[in-house]
Amino acid sequence: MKIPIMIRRSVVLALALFAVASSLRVDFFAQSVAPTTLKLPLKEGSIRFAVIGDTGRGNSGQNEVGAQMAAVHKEFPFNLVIMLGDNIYGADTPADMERKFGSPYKPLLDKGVEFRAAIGNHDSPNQRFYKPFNMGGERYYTFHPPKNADGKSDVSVRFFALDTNYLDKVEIDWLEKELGSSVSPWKIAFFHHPLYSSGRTHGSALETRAILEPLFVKYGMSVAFSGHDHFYERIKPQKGGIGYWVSGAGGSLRKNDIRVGSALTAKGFDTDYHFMIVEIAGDELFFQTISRRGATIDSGVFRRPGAAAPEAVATPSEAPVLLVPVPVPAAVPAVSPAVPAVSPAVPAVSPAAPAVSPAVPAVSRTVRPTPRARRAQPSPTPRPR
Amino acid sequence: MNRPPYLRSGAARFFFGLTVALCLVGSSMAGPLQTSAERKTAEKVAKKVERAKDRAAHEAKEELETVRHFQKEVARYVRVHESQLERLGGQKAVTAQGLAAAITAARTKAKQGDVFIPEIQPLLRKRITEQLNGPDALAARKAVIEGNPDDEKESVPVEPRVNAVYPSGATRSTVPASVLLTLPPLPECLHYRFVGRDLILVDSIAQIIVDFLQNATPAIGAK
Repeated sequence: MKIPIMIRRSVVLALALFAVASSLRVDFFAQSVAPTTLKLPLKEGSIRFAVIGDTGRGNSGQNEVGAQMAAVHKEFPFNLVIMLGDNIYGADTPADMERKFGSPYKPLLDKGVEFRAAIGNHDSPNQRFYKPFNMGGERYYTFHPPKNADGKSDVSVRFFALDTNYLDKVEIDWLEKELGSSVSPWKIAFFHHPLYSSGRTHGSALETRAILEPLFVKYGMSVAFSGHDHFYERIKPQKGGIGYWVSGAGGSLRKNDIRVGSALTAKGFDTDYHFMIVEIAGDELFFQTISRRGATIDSGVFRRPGAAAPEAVATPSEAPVLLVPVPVPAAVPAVSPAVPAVSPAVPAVSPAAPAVSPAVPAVSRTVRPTPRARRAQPSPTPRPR
Repeated sequence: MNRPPYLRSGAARFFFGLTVALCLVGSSMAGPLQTSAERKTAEKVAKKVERAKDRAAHEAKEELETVRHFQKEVARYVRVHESQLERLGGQKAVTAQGLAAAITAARTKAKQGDVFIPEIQPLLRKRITEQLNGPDALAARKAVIEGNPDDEKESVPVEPRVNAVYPSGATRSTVPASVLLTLPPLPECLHYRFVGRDLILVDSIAQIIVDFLQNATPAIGAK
């Protein structure tokens, strides 16, 4: 039987398109599984917390992330989890609250880990009265990390939980007053709508950025965590050297939603659920992003904007940020190769980087610099942005 | 060799190659170009928000009078809210449903336009339209659609009706900062929200609709 030429051509074209698509998105059907290797230094007296966003569905993704967090907690004891909004999707009866919050994080809650929530567009503002969210009845609030095992509270870090779904003048004035009076060197904001994001579905919340960014820059905000877009994205440091992260796949996932080739992206991951763990020691913030299967998606160290440069590095003191991506083991699940992993303005190696075994091969996509990055690399001094 | 017709002549091959090359160059430049466009948009939005701040600071005299009347009605509602809250034992003792039932019972005769009084309605529509119209208002329009129960697939429907409960499974529209800066300020127990094109006044604790204004926004929804 002779197949008509048009059909043959269509089949060939479809196969060619599939091949191209496959080469762009390696991880179509499966995730490789890797055991979690802790990349944070676990320094004595450091402040440790976890970050989750867009969690509250009570689905298998959320439950697996919760289980992975509990496993990581054994190696990396943290006493705080910040929630980036969309904490409870849909109905919020007591049974829903249990299924969408209590049950997935039970091992952590049983160990006394404190959860602190920000409100998202899927959340009832009355979540502020839900005791386990520790919001103190407020839509927006500020706090220092909870006390350590030795009963000490560290005032060098201050968190600001904001309600970006309803950013009225009272909240803006409150934020300005609190930021203005804060003497904590580390100021960490968390809220739902990302000021910077390469999401196709939502992307950067420009109106919110127009209000918040000037305050962040004026009062020395260090980093900001947001959700809303259901993937992981580390944004290249922006105005004032502020570090931004989008971490919105703790229970919701929008695959392949990161805009390919976005110049905002330092690292992107949009093929599985994830959470973050963070450790602050002195002027350094170490971070590790882990998928629900335990694979490390991203890790590195972020130097506090405005901090004096480490003595070992010939870096001018005005250099705002030293952001050092740590090479990731080869078993890490696929990240869209079109998403650039390393900021051209970021030096590839720094004495401040945590030790990495040279035997561990780096993912080529992660560390291979673009031509522009290669041009930027010879200078160890990051350019102030 | 039997080449397809579009590759038979040298010129055709040249233009085919050029097209492919342009496509590749274009896609590789998409990121920086997009970001540059986003930066320009962000600058426009920042200017727009600044104008909104100025707008709020310099209200016309006649508008001030209208806003004062509106705020008197708002204060009247707040008194009902607070008295019922107190009667039920305060914030810690009461559930949202309990407070909603008590407030609804105390406002059985409430109707549309009691709080959004007729004088304030054109002013609200005007100020919302100012912030949502025009090329630099794209971010604001997008914000209104995000979380709007009429546009969110995952949301349960919300019926704008006085004393109706805002359903627990419904999403909340983001109210853009520029809009909030220009609308008359509200006490913490009351919030503006959008449901479709309607502006609703919702009790943020009891989760009941206190009043609503139909077609407050220009046509911007996804539907």
